[in-house]
Amino acid sequence: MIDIKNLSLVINNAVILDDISLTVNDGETIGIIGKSGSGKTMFLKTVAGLVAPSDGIVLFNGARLPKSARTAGTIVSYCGGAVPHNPDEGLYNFLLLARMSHKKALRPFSDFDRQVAEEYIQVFGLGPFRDRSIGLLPDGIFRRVLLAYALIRGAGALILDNPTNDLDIVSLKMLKKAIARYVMNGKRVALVCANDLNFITQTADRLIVMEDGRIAETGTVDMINADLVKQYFGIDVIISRNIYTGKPEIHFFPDT
Amino acid sequence: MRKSALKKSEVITLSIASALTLAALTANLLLRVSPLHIVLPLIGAGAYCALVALNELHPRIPCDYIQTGEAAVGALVLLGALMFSENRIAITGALLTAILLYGAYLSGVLAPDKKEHSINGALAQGAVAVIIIFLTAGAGRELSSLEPILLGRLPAAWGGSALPAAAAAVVVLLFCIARLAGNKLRMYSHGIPFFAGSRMAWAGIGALMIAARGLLISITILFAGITCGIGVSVNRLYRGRLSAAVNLLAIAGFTQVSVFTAALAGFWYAAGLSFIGSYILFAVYYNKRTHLYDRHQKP
Repeated sequence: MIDIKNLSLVINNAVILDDISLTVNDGETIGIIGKSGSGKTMFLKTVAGLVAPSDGIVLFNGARLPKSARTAGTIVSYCGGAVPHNPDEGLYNFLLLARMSHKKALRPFSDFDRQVAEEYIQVFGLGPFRDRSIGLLPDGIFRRVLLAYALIRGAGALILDNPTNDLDIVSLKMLKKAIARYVMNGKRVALVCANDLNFITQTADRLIVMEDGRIAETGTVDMINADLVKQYFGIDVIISRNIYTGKPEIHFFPDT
Repeated sequence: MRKSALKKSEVITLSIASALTLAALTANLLLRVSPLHIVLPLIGAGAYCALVALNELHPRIPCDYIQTGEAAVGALVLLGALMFSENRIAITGALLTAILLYGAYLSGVLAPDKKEHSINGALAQGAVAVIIIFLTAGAGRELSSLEPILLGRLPAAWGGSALPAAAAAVVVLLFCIARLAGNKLRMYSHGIPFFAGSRMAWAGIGALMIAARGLLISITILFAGITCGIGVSVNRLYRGRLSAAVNLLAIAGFTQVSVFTAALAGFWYAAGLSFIGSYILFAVYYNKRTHLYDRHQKP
């Protein structure tokens, strides 16, 4: 469970986040949407402890994030746009490194660590690439590796910033399933921000719409309608319902 | 980690590297080269092999020590130190200090790009060459006084076994530390977002890497001169299994070929061969895309 209280962030006199309060319950996936520059990424980075807030606190199961980065790694896993710098690393070995926060210094990885890595290699369909260097992977597969890395860390809070970048339709399906499976497993939560509104409506349990560093709207995914999209994104859309899930789907008007 | 059997091409590469190294060693023995001139470069080769392994975890410096200019700076410092002192500890200390400072400059100031490092290295080598000519001609010395520096024969001339033993111990120790802390170092190599530790710990490992690199390059220059400058390129070009063994054999074999060339044709030919061999392999590596996706080329 994450409890965010009065979170504010001011950088060079510019208000980036303005008094945000939010509670995320165990097993919940929160989708965050909003125009570019609305503060989504900075919100996620502040919650993940990568940026120090100007005011307010973030509590994970009632406690602040510990100062030890190693311990913090078992509590929060953030996946943003960062790219690993060593292209010669093999895919499997790279994914195993995600378990470093769970093992003692100088100890080898446990069977469980290897089992978790194997599990997500299967989930993200990475088996055929496991012996390749990460520098030799196509962009879409490489993105899957980064997402698998974030999930393999096994932290209580999974924070994904624009995870749909570079993903094809197969990878999107894998990611959706992986997030659902992740939060079902124990006391875990997921915060996902994406510019792909359809992915968010199909994945999240609850939606947050951000505008000018504030939470402008919050509710279930059913709150998505043409008026809301027009109000916060400034474009006209048609909303239909997915015939299997009943969740809203957004369609653009053709240019006239 | 899943292990699989060696491929045919890997077995062939390993066999060729072993055969060439053995042939060069045998030729040197047949030429009655001093045993110290045969054995001591192998310590330098071991140090450089450990350095190449460490370089994999510190991808900020993508070139060999000849291309980066470290070998040239080391040679200049040794030449200067030899003019003022005969104390081996002072000379070794001066070399280590200069290499550490130059390594900090390479890691801290230059971008992790092979083009930037090679241009910087070429400029450094040009400057060092001019200074060396000025120093030797100005002091009325023969350029042949560079022989023990370029071929790493100072420890052989100094005699005693303390320095070779200490150097070998440092190489083995650093190799063991790198093996034990391998996972942590591999995390370090991917940058702060993938490092399970504080920013301070990350910076600390960076400083230790520079120090370890400086130690290993100093040992290489002292014991093998400039004859190991193919290591990084060989390592980048050979991506098969047992790459450490192939690399060790390649570097050790190349040092022995240099010893052989020096015995047969003179030290300028040996130094020239090392220099040209290093640059030829670097050119092959430079023009070959070892990584398909540009996102990795400039971290």
